Amino acid sequence: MPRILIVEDSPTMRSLLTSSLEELEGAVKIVEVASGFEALRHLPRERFDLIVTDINGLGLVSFVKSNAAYRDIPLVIVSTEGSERDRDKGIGLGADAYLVKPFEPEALRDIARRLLEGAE
Amino acid sequence: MAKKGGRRGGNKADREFVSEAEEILETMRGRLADLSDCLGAGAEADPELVNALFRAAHSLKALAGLFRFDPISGLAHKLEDVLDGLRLGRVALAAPLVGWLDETIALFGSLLGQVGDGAALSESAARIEQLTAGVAELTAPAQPQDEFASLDLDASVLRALTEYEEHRLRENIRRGRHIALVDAPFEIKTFEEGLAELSGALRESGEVLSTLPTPGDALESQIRFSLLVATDLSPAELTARIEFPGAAVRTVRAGRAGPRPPAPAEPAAAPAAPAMTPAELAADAPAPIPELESLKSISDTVRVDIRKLDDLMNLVGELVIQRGAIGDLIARLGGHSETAKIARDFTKMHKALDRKLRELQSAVLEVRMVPLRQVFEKVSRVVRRLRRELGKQVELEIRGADTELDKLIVEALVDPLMHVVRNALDHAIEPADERRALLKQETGRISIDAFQRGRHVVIQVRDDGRGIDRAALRGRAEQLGLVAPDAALSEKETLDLIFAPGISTREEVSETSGRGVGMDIVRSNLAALGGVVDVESTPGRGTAIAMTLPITLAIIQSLIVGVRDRRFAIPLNSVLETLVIDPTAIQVSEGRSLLNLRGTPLLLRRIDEEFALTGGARAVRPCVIVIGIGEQRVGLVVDRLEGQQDTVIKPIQGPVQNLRGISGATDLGDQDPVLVLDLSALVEDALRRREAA
Repeated sequence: MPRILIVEDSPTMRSLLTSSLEELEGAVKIVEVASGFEALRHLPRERFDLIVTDINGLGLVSFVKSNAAYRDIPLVIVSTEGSERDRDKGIGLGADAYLVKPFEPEALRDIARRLLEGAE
Repeated sequence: MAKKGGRRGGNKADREFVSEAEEILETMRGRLADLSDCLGAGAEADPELVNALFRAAHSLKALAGLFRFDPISGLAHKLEDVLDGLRLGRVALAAPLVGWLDETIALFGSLLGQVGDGAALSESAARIEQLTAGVAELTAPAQPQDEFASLDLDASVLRALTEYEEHRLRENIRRGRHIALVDAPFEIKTFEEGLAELSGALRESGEVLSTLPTPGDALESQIRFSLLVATDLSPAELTARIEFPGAAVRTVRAGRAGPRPPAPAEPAAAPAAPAMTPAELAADAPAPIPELESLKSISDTVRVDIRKLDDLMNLVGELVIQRGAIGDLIARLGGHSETAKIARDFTKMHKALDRKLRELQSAVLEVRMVPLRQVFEKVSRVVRRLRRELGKQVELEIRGADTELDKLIVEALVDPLMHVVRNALDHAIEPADERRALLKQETGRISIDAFQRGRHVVIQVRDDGRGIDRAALRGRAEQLGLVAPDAALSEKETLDLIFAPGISTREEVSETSGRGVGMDIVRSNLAALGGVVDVESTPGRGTAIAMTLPITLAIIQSLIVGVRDRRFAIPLNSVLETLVIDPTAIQVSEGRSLLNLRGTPLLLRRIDEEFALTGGARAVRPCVIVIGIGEQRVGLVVDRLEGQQDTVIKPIQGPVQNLRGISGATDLGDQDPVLVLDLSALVEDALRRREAA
């Protein structure tokens, strides 16, 4: 069962991300955290197949993508309209895809399907 | 946030939206006032204030979007853009921009007032367009500069900085602070505590610009963090100050030597928007940190529509009345020997019920009570703004902000209070040079004191300005035909002329004090709440305006009185004393009835004459009820005192709806509605009649 880590500080947006991804075909396990720091605590504990993160900071992206142990986990940045520059930096750091809020749930699922397939 | 089909529903949704949006606006107003203070004092804009404004604009945009109020959400979007530019240093903060922000926030206020009125809302579109068009020139981008070339910093760190973090870095370089990179290992299981400790120590010595987790050769069980810090301390000093095992401090850029630049105080709470910052740490750390606690206090609060509380209050009121009816029944049971024992048991139960009902009643009342603080904050913001606009030096002192009043009263109080304070600022306080010439302190003072007095709350606004010019006041009143040129007025009567409609003692009508709204409106607004306003003034020394208001409008204790064959309820909170008198003690002079009350003449009003009651007979020995509202005293003459009772005043429908002197009706539990006397109106009329006489 694919395991997805969702990092998002807004509870509303978090539950929206979760509910969108729960509708993926086949069961997925979703772990929700509210911050990059929480994510750092989860990363060594279990293996993830996908990380979906907001863009309040680039620390998590840079950490995941520069760390041999996590580098291969696909990472999606969910950003707001105004934060193109941070998003571009995130892509530069190695993020695999991005999604702009507000998003269509299906668009998120498309990205997730593509990245999860590639990982297998 | 992207809730589909959440089409704006009935009024309830609108109200929810407005109430939540109002809260956000309130926050914005406060932050903006602080920000413009920063600017006024020549200080740098506190980044946390700009961040807070930005977050508020973002929430407002999201909220308005959710409820599909497109004009509001569009304007909020624009505001968010502007604030984002400000936050990221793309735009410089200057007075015109603060003015724009002020206007925009004010426009939100009026837009919220139009919610539910589609036509009005779309009419505002032009204004929105005008505002959004006007901001372009105010937000011409600041000169971009690349100062990072001088940094001895690994590209991987620079790459991982968000735009905001870059901006803060640039800002600190510009100020000439040392930039250092602090690197430390943590146990992965407990890194948050350790990191919070380190960040806390660093924040005491400077600003933490970014916190980046770094992989490396550290053990599997460890994680390293690099903290980019701006500080006035040298690396050696910083190392000594933080006392953190394993932490390595490396200078990335040396700051300016010599005296430290007057850096503004570090924001108490670190910026929360860009995560991976200390604020986020704070939210994660287990230790009690203010931000965490404030989140908790939010979750302990429930927002309730005041109308629901009104319904609840009405229900409690009905229960109170039912209780009264049961009391009567018990009294009747007690009157018969065969049921006397049952009556005694009943009495016990009745007492217990009574106690619980009182508790319930005060609990519901309690819920409606809010401190005056919010209103006072609003006032002090307006004062700060006006002070700037009028260029006057004024200090505002506020005491008693914790004094509580019924929410509805507090809301209705805002306008009158604001009016009185504006008057003081605009008219009463003299310009600095004039004050200097008068040997007064150049800075004028306005104080607002709130305190409870019995079942009333008094709010007193004092200034040390020029005082009320009695001759001018009198002249204006004569001009308007309110006073005969030869009428002899007492000091107090003259001062009370400021409450007459159409009076304005200063010739020009100023923007600040509004157009054509005078103290008469203040008086009538307060009277509608069952309150009164008193004025005292010493020429050259200042004026004091005291507003006296009942604590609540919901349930009041009333004195039930009989007048001929009718009954009336008199709110007990204004009753000072009751006397039974001999009719011969009433002196009639110049058409006025007076009673000598311990040496002071008390103006009397006969309730039966007031309402032209003729049925039944007058009592041989009438009763006088001495009413005190604010500083005013009037005696009401009635025939009987029937007792005291809790009453819920309800508005009357029908022919007596607008009868002056009656504020509503109440049901005493015996199916016979009783009219409640409007004491403010009665007292006011009595005094006016005296003035006219």
